[in-house]
Amino acid sequence: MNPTLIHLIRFVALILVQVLILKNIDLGSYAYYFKIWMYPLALLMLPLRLPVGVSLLIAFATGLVVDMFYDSAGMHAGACVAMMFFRPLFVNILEPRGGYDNNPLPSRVKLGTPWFLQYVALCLAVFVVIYSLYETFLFEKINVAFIKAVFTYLVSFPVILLPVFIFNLGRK
Amino acid sequence: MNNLINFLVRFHGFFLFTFLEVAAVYLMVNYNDFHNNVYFHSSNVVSGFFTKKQNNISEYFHLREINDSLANAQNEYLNRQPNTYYNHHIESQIVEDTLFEKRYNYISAKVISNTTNQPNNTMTLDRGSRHGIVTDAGVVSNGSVAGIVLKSSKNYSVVMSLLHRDVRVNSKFKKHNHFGSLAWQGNNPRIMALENIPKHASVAVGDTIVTNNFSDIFPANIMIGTVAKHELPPGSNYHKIDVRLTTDFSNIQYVNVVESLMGDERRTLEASVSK
Repeated sequence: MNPTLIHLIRFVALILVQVLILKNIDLGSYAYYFKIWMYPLALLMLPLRLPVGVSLLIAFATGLVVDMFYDSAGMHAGACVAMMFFRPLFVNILEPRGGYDNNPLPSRVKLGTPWFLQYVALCLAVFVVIYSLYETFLFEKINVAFIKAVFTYLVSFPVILLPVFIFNLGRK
Repeated sequence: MNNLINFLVRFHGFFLFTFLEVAAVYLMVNYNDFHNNVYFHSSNVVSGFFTKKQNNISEYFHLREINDSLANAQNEYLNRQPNTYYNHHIESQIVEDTLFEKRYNYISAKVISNTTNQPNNTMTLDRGSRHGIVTDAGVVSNGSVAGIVLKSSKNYSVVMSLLHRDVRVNSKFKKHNHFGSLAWQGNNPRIMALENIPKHASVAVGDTIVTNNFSDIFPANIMIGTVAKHELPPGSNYHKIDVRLTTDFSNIQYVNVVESLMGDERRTLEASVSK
């Protein structure tokens, strides 16, 4: 199948899961402290050597779509763009000894589970921190922003890995 | 230019990142009430701070104009003060009476300048010829003699007070009408010398000295002072008398100028005879 189509399907599916299921999980009063994010995985599954401009634009568009459902104009867009901006840095840091293939995909099978976990962990950290900062938006409450970021991270990290292990994404 | 383009191309990721983040924040601020409020609140705090600082500085450059306008305003204010106006009003009333024809009229005047420590002391009054003050008119303060008009202009007149070397006041003892001439010796502003009192006249400390009725300058029996000290120098025919003046020239404020209504007639007559 056309790889672009696969990516597109993945985007649509993850965003639908995000806005139709995860958004409607009733967290009660804990909702103040953490959110559950899964859709960033769609961005993380993009080719590692995608030109930075393209990846940033894709991230912005994706974030805007999610923002429409969450009524949070700009917050997801900003967080996604930040995550995708720092992604090449993490990719370079995590570069295996032998280097990457030509136009590599972030494949758990090919690059190994530890590599994949570190990759997701770093990128997701950027995402949740930036999102929390934008959500709080007050320097006086920056500590609250980081508490939120930590809880969101602890919850979202396992959630974002679920589809990877369930559907064994990126096995090619 | 090439370098600039290379620079932009090389860091296009960063520029795009920055642009998209700014766009995200812009969306946040414009479409979320909370972010909007925070943005406007904090930007008001920040911009308020800078606006205030800028005002503080720019105000300084406008100080000259502000000073000018303040000076103008103060000048205008001062010009509206009552003390810048010249009051022409005079309280005087002449009663027409066929038996007692009016001989003297008093004109109230304010002392606007005064000296007591000069060899020849003068006062300036705020009334002049248009109010009836003429040269050689007598000046009275609180019912006692104060001086004689030297010269008068339209609105002002200069008076030589009693503390003037040229002043001679015709005066007499109230109790026995012996008359003499009063002159200032030039040292003590409270003391004048009464001359030409013959030695047969009885003199005692505390005797009252008043104006004589020989002169037309003052009405008769205006208070001048009291005898402070007297002696009869050996071989002299005249007493040497010091008179303590009733008028204190150091705090004189209002005076009354004597207008002699029959003075011209008398002077004309006397001048025609003495020829």
